[in-house]
Amino acid sequence: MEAGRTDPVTYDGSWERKGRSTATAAVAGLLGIGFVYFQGQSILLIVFIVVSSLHHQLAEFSGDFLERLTGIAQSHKAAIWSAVAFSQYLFMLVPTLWLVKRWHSSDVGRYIRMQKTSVPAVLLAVVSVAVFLPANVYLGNLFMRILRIPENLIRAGTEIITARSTPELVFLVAEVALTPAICEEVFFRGFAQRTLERSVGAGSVWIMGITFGLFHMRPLGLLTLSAIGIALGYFYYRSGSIIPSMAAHFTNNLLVVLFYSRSPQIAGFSAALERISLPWTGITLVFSATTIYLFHLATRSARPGTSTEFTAPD
Amino acid sequence: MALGDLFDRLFRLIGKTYPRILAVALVIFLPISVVFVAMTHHFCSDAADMVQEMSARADYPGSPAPPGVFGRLLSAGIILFTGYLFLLLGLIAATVGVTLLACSEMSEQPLSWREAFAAAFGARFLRVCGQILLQSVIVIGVMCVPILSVALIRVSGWFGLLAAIVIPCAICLVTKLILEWAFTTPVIVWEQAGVLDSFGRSSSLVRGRWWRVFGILLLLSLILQFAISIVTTPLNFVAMWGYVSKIFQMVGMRRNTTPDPRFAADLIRSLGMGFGIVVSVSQLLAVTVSPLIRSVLYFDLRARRGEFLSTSTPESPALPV
Repeated sequence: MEAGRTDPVTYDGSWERKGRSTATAAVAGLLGIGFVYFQGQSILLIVFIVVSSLHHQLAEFSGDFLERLTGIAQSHKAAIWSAVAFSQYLFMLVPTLWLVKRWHSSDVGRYIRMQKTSVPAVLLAVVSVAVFLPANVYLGNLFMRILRIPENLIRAGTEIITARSTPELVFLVAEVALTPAICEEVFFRGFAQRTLERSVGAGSVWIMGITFGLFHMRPLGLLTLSAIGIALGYFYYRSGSIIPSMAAHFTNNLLVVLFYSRSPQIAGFSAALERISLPWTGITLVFSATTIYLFHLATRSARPGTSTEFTAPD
Repeated sequence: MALGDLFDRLFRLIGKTYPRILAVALVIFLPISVVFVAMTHHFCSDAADMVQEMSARADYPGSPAPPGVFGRLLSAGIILFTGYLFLLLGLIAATVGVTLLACSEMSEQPLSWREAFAAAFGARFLRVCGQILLQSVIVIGVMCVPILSVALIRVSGWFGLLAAIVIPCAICLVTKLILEWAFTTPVIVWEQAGVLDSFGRSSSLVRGRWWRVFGILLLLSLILQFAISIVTTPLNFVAMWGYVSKIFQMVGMRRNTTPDPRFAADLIRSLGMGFGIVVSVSQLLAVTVSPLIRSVLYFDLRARRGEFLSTSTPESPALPV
């Protein structure tokens, strides 16, 4: 823990009173809530899909296995995303807030750093993540080409995130962009990174960033997800507020939804991104890194030795 | 200790001992894993060759069976069984070494990884093997009753009624026994008890605290499996890449393409090495943590019986560090 920082948070939770290790709390909470979330989500998915099947008359899908699977996924898209969103609130957000209150502090908002920060910091976090999207798309396409993943499999996988109408786009933005920006940020940054930070300091940014990538269980996306996780963790750590990382997370997911959208207004933008070349990807990466550096400068007031200092209790 | 204290103790133990534990586990497990991977690869290659020959024969009905099919099947099965046996023996030895390291650390008598490795293959190893063998015989013996009842249903319908009663009873009995004997390994390794004594000693530790032990072991085992799955998902993807790429190829085939008969054989052949690596890695991770869970619980149960200090209470036992 960095010396000289004073934290107005009162550590009156049961874990704090018994003087236990905060690293243990972070790992135990991460694994315990993670386990509950994945199991709960699996159950909810089954329930929602069964209800959806009973409610809608299933159309007959023709074609090979993947084409039929794509059709089924399309017809159950609302049920699937509703189940995912419900499980994020029910099995991730609620247990996290409960655990923070029980184990660490009755002042949950202050503990997870739900506090205001400067507007330039939020804007720079958002811009740096937005500009990273071309590199994300380029790397994703590169992996698909090297590994020779079939086009029909990629189409089946992206069908679940493709909006084909404006109401569907609004729905996907709420489920895919807004929900994880709240729930995952509170869980990964607000609880896990915040608690681990008290033992290992800035190292928590790297550890939680990679953990964020691993938790998504997408081997092909591990590199980019971990990079985004580290960036989000850095925004949280550096600014002393969860707002920049929430805003950046929302922006990243929103752009992904827009990218896969079939809206004619966005089709041109998506097509341009698909064709982006390596030099332009390099330029956007440099721009992203520059924006992060500007963020670093803009959040200088939240660094140790200023008015927002805190002391570690352990 | 409360559940939080157990977590805390466990993680502190992991933090203090993990490099030594990893050293013991790797030195024991790595050579055995190499043998296991080679054997699964050999098995899958044999199976793939047989599938290829059978599909080639299918194009020529009436052609004689290739010589020694059953012999080859049997030898492939023996090879796979031997591989699993090696893996099991390696797991037992690693468990003995890790348990010894954990218990010595808990008792403030830390051992080096070399000392733990040297002790992993001695009398303790043989006793743990004997305990596992005896426990397996008992459990299988108990489960034979419901299996027999189900098998005899055709003889008389009354066996169906018997099976309906016996199956849940057998499951409960097996669960009870497995839980009561959950601490035989730390008893053998740390107290150097005999095989039969270890069953009685473990049962006496669990007595009166069965539900607590059941709940904690179940919770920590589920969380451990979840953690292992998180960590190994990308590793598994890389290890099984040969198999996964074949699946992608199959998915990418156009609908009306005639499937190549060699494809099934290639699929089986690509499975062998990756499967061996996946199993080895996940077992290696499990063997470095699971014995620690039992060791911490073992000392907690002993403390609750007042075996350490006369002034300790079950709620706040004075455990060794």
